[in-house]
Amino acid sequence: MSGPELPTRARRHEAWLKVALPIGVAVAFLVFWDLSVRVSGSDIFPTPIAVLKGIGQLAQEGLLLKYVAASLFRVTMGFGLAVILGIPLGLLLGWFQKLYYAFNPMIQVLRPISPIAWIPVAILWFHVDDRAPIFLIFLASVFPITVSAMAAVQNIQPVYIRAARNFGIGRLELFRRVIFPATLPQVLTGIRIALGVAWLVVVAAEMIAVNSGLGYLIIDARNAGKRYDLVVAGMVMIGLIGLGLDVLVRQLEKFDEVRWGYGR
Amino acid sequence: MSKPVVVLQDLWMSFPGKRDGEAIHVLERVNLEVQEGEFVCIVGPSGCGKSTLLNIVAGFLPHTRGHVTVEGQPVHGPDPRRIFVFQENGIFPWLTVHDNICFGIRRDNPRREEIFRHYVEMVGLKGFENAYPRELSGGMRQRVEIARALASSPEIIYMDEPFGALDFLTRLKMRSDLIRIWQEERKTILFVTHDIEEAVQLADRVIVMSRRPATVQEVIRVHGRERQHRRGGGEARAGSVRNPRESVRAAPRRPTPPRAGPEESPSSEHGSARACPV
Repeated sequence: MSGPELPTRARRHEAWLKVALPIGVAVAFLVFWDLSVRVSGSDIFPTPIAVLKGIGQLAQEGLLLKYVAASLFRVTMGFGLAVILGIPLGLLLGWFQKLYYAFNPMIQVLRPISPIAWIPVAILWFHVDDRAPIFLIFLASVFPITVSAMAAVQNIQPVYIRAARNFGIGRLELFRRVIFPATLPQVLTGIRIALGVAWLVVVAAEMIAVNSGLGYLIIDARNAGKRYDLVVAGMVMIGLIGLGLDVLVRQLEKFDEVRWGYGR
Repeated sequence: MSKPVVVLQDLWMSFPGKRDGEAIHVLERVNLEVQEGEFVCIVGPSGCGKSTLLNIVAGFLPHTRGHVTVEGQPVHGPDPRRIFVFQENGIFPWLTVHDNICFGIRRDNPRREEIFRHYVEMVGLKGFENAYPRELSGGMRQRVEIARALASSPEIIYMDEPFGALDFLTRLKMRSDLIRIWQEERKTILFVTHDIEEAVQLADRVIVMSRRPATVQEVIRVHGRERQHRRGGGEARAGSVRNPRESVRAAPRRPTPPRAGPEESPSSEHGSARACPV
């Protein structure tokens, strides 16, 4: 069901390349990084080893877990809110033409405004507690989710709706048994994009508004004594967790209920 | 085989054209009757409006003028007693074969699983109950759709070129299976195709449509079939193409008055040959 049928040997070779090539690139990058720092003689920018030590130090002090948890908590809240509101909103706008006409232009105006631009507004409304970054994450992720759900409904093959109506099912049933499952693959793609954006934004939000989280770690480490090993440690953690979140959501795309929607 | 279940009287259909006031006439003065338990094929050139006709009868499209009556009632929309089989991809890709076939069976029906087993066997998909449509071939998917239609126990089945996207051999097999199923189930079937051979092979009666604006140009009664299935059905092999022994003409390019009994009036073999647009 996946791609052209390859002989076992060629396939094994490809599997090996898929692991070996990225590891090779990563090692080359680390060596280049290390050498650059040594050659330039910088005493501020850390080597990879120093960053690893920095992560170790953060873990020992219990800050690593605390900050990661704080960031993940804010993402969960803001992103969860966006999912809960964005999916029904998108499905409604996609289904009811008049609602689409009425609200789509407004959405398209709000959508390109960067969540960063909302930071002053967020601080004004929510001061500097957790609600400000949560609000920013919500703003960042609600649009991709809404728009993908909206497009998903508009892209449903009419034959599904016709077939379902032919069997005499009511509106609620039509929604539950046809519209929702038919849009799920595209909605899931929207969710994946939104989660990426949410993670992007939480760090930016934490740099300004709060005093915990990975974004705060970066700003704090720089301000309190130019600890660039901790700055880069924070960046590395952000990257790794972002990758982890994406891998997690990608697992959802493997379910039979949605796999039909991704080609192949 | 006596009561007309589908009656079209002076049916007209136009779509609005690109410019205002210039309507595109698709159907003109279509008159047609389908008897209970009859297998009727509608053939015509591509784009002549035969699919539009079927969609109107099924209640998916409103018509412009005339009367569409099914089982004595004017058609206002789709109805679960009359199931439409689409050309392709009509089954739900997010449901297994089992759930697709059970889609039209009420959940509180105690015989649900029994009905399912009956039809999954009838269409030859035993062993694929838990497969998803993407794991099936085109022919198998079409079987699922036919089983889904039958499982909801409709009185009429409308089929819109259901085998059009299949390869030749699969198509032949599907036709023979459809005839077997029809003989077991005795449903009224209204079947649209552009393939005259397919029509003749399947139908009791073949309705030939003209080019757009389409009207009924010719009605061909396919004899022999009735006798075959009256005798027990087993002999109506799908591979054997039954020639229309008697083709009957309803004044070409003229409306066919439904009650004038156009089938009874004589016609020439040439007439039908000319009218067969393949």
